[in-house]
Amino acid sequence: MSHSGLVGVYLSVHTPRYCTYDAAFAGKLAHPDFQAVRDGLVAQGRHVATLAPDAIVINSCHLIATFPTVVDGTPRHAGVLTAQEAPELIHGVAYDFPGDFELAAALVERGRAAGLPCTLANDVHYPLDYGTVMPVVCYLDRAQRIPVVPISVCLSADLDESFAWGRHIARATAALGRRAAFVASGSVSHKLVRGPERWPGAAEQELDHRLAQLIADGEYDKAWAWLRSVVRQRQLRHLADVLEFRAKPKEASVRVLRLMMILGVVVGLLAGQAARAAETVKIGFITSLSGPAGVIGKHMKDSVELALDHLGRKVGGLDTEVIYGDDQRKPDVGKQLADEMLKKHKVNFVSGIIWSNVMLAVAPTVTGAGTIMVGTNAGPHELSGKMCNELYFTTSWQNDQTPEAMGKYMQDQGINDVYAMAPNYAAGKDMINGFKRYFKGRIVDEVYTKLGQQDYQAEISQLRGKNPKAVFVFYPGDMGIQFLKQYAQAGLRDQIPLYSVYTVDETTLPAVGDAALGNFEARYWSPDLKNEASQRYVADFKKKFGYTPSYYGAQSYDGILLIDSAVRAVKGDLSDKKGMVAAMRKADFKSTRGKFTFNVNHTPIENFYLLRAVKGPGGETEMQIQKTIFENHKDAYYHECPMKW
Amino acid sequence: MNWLLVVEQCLNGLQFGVMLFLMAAGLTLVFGIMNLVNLAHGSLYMVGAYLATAAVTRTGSFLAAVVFALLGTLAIGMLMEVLALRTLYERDHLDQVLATFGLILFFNEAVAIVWGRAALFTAVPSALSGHIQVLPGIRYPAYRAVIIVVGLLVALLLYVVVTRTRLGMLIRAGASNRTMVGALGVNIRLLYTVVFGFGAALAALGGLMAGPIYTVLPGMGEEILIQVFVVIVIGGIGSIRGALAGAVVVGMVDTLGRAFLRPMLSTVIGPSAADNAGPALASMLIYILMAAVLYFRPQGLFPALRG
Repeated sequence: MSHSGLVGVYLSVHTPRYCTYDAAFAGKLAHPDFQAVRDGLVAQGRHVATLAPDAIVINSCHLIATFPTVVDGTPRHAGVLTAQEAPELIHGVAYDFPGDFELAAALVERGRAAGLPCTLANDVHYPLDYGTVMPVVCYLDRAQRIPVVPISVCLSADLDESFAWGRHIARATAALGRRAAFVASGSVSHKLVRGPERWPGAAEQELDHRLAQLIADGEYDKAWAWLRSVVRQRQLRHLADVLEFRAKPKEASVRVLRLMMILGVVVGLLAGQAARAAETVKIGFITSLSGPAGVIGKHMKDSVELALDHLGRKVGGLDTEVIYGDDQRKPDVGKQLADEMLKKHKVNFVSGIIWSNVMLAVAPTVTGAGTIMVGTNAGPHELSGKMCNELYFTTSWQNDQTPEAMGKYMQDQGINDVYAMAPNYAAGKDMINGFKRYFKGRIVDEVYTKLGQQDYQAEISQLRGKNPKAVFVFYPGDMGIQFLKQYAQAGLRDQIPLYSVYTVDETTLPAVGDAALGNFEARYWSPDLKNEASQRYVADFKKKFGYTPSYYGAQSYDGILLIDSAVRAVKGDLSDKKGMVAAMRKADFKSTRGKFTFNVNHTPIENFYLLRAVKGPGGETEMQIQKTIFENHKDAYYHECPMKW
Repeated sequence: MNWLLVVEQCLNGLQFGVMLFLMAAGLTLVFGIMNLVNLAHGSLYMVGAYLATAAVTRTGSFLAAVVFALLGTLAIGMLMEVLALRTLYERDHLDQVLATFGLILFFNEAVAIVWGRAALFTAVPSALSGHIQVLPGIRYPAYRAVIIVVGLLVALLLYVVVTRTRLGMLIRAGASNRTMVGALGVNIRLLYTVVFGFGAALAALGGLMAGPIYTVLPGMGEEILIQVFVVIVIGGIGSIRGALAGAVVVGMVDTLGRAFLRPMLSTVIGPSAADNAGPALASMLIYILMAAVLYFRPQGLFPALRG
């Protein structure tokens, strides 16, 4: 997660018997029952490592101050620890980790402003307790590189003050722009009693589980109320226990214990609220919604909505919010949108993108911010090759793949003297390159036109002058409509067969009509593809939106399902990027194209078909699959991608 | 290079120029007389195309569609002038740009709401779907030939109206000195509304003729609008004659550049360099031309006379 504030909260339990060097490093446990606790602490350490917070704020129930709360802002905590409570178990432990004076000062400033008695320590001799040192050096940050800010419990504070501190810690870290982890070192089941035989048993441990569960469920109000009642009961019980050795002033310790619990837990609640905010999956979906390409964007957006319907409006079982952005077919606008989605909306995924030049601007922005990008159309060769990225997936194809299929088909047909045309931008070049990779016959000429050009009459006149045997074009969206109409109007449709990619599809057919009849296209998906997922998608799409979906839509639908599979695999833990990437690599969802796999560069390995525009039963022109050109076709750039998995 | 091809490309250039002229004539009149920068002129082109498409789908008659689109856009244009643009005449050009940009968004969305975002189907009327023999060896699409003829007729008509009629006299007078025309008792408000409606109808004519060869789609007017601005800058702002000359020059330069620049370059700098430079240079050509005109003749080729 990239946002600041509390990014992780840990309840790290400790007693001198299992929070020792021996237990941590040699696995020498004082009792086999401690195994689970130790494993839990090790797991917390791993989690801290993946989270890589800027600072750890730690509140140990053994770091005790009397009147003010002490925040230790010492820039470097270095010393040798011998635990006051257990010198025979924990002694001579050298520690040396950085502090964060700025953060500590900000905490104190905020506490003072709120009228909470507190003081800032900046003194290498300020003593640290074993509850602070041992969890950090043994489990949470064994490299001792993350700055640590110890904060004391305060004997004079009451419950509400502790609660207030939790809130101030959360806000101060956010205001400072720190990504901090909070560690409550202690536990609800903590018992201040003598003798190992009176260690917390299953019933006491259940209290911790219950608390964890309440927080995980987002039941903060319940947790708070429950905590108050537990504190009251346990205070009585502790008092009863304490009565046994009343001679020693144990009330103070009980108070410490109580405050620790409140403080730790309350901060947990607040951080939990941040976690709850993250329990909504936010997906930023960028496409062209206005202007001439708006119809493609509409196909994509409608498909996203249908995917959400099919998932019960919950991606990965979590509440889902999709933020749509209109890139207006401009790379700079696309990049701005991506920035806004990442910084303002703090999206967990960015998806969509029709145009390769927009994708080349957006994908590095998104992956550079540590967020997963799921492309659902554009497939520039850079992103499948040298610029491939762990966090970048595409549910469509690499640009070259489809024209490769068309090149293969025309090569197999023995067609010669081909005239090739495409718009002059990233994908146009990819398309012609892909075509030429498999088509080895003679190419009469290769013409690039302006992106968004409306009139092709000049080019068509040139084309006719060269008298080719076949024409290969790539004209997506409105360009395709114009080209096809003008090609037919020039009387060439019956003279020179037209082979195209991404030109005749369900977004352009209604406007082109008969001018497309007989046209050949290559594609990985078509509405008439026979598989369960595809047929369900097409049928429900037609029912909901009243028109026939296109491959742009199918890919976008797949994109949401892919994200769903990832979030499901990590059980909704959106901070687990590695887990989500691993899950996405399996392509474990019901794709509209049927079962497929991802290549090492996260580009699909999939089938490509030959399509032809024919008269459908209703009299409209529609695309019909003729044959399979490629089975499980890989893109040409995956060798250049250094990724290994 | 085959001379027949050159002739054919010149026809293509002329046809593109004529389309640009229909747009530019209205835009330049509005700018010259009302001192109003109307970015939403492309929207009127779009509205014309949509109204014609809707009418042709319903009635099946292209002629009815022409009449409906012209009158409809004329009405919409006049309404737009009365409701939105009147308040802008005395404002800064930047305010006008902002307001009319807002109108673009309004019209695009309105069209998308009424007809949907997908492109509409329109075909060339069957009577014009064939080809005509222009010269031996040159068969030219009849529809495009008709566009050229219509465009030239409109240019002639405009010339007659502007130079030989009372309305034209007022228009010229308005372009020269607006305040004086008002002071002489001419209802300048009404004149503005009429001229704006007239310009809207010309844009609609361009749009309805473009429908069958281009794409009828929300936002279709924006691409051509940029080129139209280039036309009026080259031709001279406010001048019909300039608009015609600018349009034909831009149409020719753009078309011939796209057709012949790359082959010509390849004889000079080699084919592979030309493959890269040619298309990029061809699409920049009209802007380079505009820059050159601005440098040598900042007032344009045929500037309107100013009092």
